[in-house]
Amino acid sequence: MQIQDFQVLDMLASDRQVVVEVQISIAMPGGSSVTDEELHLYWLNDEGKINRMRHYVDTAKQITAYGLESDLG
Amino acid sequence: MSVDAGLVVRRLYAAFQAGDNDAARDCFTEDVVWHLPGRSPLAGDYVGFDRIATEFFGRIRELTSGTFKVEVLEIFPGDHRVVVLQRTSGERGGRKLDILVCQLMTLRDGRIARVRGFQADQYALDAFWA
Repeated sequence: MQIQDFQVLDMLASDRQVVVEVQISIAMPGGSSVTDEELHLYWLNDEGKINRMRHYVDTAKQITAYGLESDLG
Repeated sequence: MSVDAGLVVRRLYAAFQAGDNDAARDCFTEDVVWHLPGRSPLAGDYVGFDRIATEFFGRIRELTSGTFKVEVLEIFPGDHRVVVLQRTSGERGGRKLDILVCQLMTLRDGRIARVRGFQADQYALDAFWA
């Protein structure tokens, strides 16, 4: 797989956390591609540096794009 | 502007918590789309408040026998977008759900026009509703 496009759509912040909305397009090995939005949630420490990050992704959509549905039963 | 967006979302959660459908309806545009990702029977797009209230939230309450709960952990307000980080929990037929969810809400003319849920554990949510 290869990332074809990666765009930051928005950034929203609270005191110690930042949510980044991104749109990502991935080229799949079979020639297809999948485009979807993701949220990336970052936590910042006392020094203002990122110490934790978590993806919020529609994994079901990616599983379908990868053709792995049968592997999950 | 960003304060208004945050206030609309806070009003929505307060309305849901109070079971006040009229107040909740007032937070949405008429053509609002609520998208639940995943592969579960509940996944898909719900268009308009009536469908959201009956086919989505009503179904959730019914399936979980009223145990479904949402705890707001953080609200990230922007000009036209708001993200709500929430803990979602419930029980259904011996299954337990307890996951973090980010609800991305897009506003138009001061009302919520689009909602998309981003689950920290999509597998857990799909398995819970399967």
